[in-house]
Amino acid sequence: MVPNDKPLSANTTFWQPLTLELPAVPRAYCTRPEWSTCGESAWMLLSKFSWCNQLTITQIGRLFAKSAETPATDIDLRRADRINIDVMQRALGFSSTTMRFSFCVEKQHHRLWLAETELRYCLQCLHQGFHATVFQWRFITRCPIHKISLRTGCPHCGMAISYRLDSQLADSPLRCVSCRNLWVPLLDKPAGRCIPLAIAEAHVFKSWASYIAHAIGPAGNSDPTPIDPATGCFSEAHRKAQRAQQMKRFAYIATLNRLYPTPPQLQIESLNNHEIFMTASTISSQPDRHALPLPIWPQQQWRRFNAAFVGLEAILNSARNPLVDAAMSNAKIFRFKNHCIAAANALPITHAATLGWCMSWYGYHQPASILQSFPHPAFGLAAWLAHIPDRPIGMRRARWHVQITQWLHNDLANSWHTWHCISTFMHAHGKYFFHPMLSQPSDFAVAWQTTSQEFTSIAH
Amino acid sequence: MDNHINRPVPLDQHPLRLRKYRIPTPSIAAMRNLVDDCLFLYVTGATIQGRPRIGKSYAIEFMRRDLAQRYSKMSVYRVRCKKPQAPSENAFFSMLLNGVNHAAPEGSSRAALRGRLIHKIREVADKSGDHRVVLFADEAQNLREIEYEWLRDVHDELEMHELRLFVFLVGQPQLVAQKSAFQAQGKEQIVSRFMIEELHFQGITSAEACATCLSAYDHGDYPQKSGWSYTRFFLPQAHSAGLRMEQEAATLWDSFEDAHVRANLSGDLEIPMKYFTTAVEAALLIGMRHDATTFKFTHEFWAQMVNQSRYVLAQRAGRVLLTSIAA
Repeated sequence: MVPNDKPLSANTTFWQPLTLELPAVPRAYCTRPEWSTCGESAWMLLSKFSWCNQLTITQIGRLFAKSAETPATDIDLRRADRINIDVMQRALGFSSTTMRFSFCVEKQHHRLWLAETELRYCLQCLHQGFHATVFQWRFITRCPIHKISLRTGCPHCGMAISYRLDSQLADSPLRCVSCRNLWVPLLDKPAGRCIPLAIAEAHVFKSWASYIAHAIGPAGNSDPTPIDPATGCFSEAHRKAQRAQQMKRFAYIATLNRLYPTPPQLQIESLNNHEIFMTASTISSQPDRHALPLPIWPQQQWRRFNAAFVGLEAILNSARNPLVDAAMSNAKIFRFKNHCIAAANALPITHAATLGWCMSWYGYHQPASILQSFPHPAFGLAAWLAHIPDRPIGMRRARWHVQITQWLHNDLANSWHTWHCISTFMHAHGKYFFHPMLSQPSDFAVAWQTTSQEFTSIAH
Repeated sequence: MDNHINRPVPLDQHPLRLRKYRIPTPSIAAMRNLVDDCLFLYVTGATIQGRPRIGKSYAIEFMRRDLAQRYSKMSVYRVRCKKPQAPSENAFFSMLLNGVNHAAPEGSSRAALRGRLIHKIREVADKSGDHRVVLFADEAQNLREIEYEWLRDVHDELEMHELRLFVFLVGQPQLVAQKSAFQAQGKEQIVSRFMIEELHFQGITSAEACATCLSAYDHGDYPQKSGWSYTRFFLPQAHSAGLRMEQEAATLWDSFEDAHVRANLSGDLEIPMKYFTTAVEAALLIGMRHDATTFKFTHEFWAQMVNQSRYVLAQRAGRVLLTSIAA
């Protein structure tokens, strides 16, 4: 800037009435949206808000609590329904997208217990002022960006950090209440600020959040009550056993988290990919209805799996056989060192896709199982059937059976294509990992609900 | 009044009619120079003192608009210093938080209020992208020594965050006495930060200053660059015949002087901005009814406008009050 050397009397623009209206600046809290990243947890967003505005827990609670009934001074931050999201979004200056990824679940969810109530964090992320919502899920054990294990407790003294909006967060934001150690050392420096993640890194957390949301499913279902059948009373041992079983069910996500920086594609994304189904012609071959082979499993033990199921299983088998024959020609197919994990060079992508596809439709938990004969029906197919829409009123059984057969052909092809995409992704990252949950036939069946509604409306 | 004049905006939307404009004065020009010098040389503070009701608050508003126009990225705040019974850190920081438009200006510990203020100033400065922060403290004579110390803490803390706070203390002549007292007590930490530069703020003290201010009505267009000066807007026919407000400076000055003398007001004439603009606004709005190519302002007309401005009544009221306090 150069000083105003010119005498003002000569400055004609100055000697004029000034009519500029100063913009009305509304009263606002101090917000730093530029310090945050999409995928950041509500705990971190509120901690930063608290750091900047130094409000008491009562003030924060009054500002963000959804209703007067909610204890405004102690709010579970895993659930979005305890917070007034609109107010929070306006006060913090974030987009609705950021807010969407800030909570583990939107409302009470039967699998919420899988999200930890104590803060789980990546030390490096925390040091730069970031904490992802996905870190709270117990099956996420490593930071996908820094590839280090997640931790709990104060990094300095080990004191537990609650994942709640409580007096600890308000009185001592981003600082341990016990040892006063600051968790984001950058903030203590002159002109200190948090460092947001790069767009690509933020995308990683968003994709994990979407994947987990799909894996845990929608809210509304409930796990069976842990009742001891012997006594008919609530049993803590049963509850623990149930939870251990649930944890085991989601262990595959922990393996994905360990092996890959991002989760593999969901089938929904794959279906949007209009590529040529490589095996479509093979899969769509019709079995000979008059020469249905007998199932290898004892029908007496599986009485509910009737002739119609056997017919559909025959379609599945007719699609499987040429694919498995081709895959079996590869000698390395069974060289799995660690159950379901294999090196990317162990087998070609198409054979890997076949393995995964078989595991999904037959309900195998080991890739090697595709060569063994199990005395049970194809569980993946059973799950698919359980999720297809009900037969519309007025539609004949024969016509409905034809419809289901068409859907099955379609889904077998789409499922293989999904597995091909997943295998390609895994091959690019150097390791294959096979698990039936990676592409579930039931997800394809659910997608037919819309078509079924059209049938119903036509029938009416 | 000629109703067939085709003005660019309706009469009731003109800033003069809405009293939404600011006229520069020689003192405001001096204040502007001082602020510019301080910003350029990084002199972090100055005192601007003048008699009550002379137009200091008016000058602050002018400067806020002027700075917003010339340095659009710079944060400019204004606070009005109150004088509580006893200085309190809570009250002081609440006042500053009010000035920076924080949504929670009160209701926390002192440390929290202080932190809140620093974060808010940092946020605004970071977003606008200018590390200079200007604070106009109106009625600064009300500040006490401890409050200067707290202000110094804010100044130093902002400096630590790479922001430079410029404090302009605007108040009554007691400010000079305060500065002298601080100097005598060796309070260099306050004087060197906020009181190095000094400006005596005055009203309109001469016919020449009067002419300078009046010329603004002839030169300033509304809407901008429309060719419709304030004078032309209200007196279009007289303006076309050559009437200019600047030419009325001597008559207006004489009218104020006559009123001053006739009312036996003590001291030299120093027209506060409020009464000056009221007289001119009344002249344009009343003169508009008689607008013609032959229209001329007369001495009697201006005397009437000075009377309309309530200058004498206000001065008398002020003096009586002061006399009774002194008694």
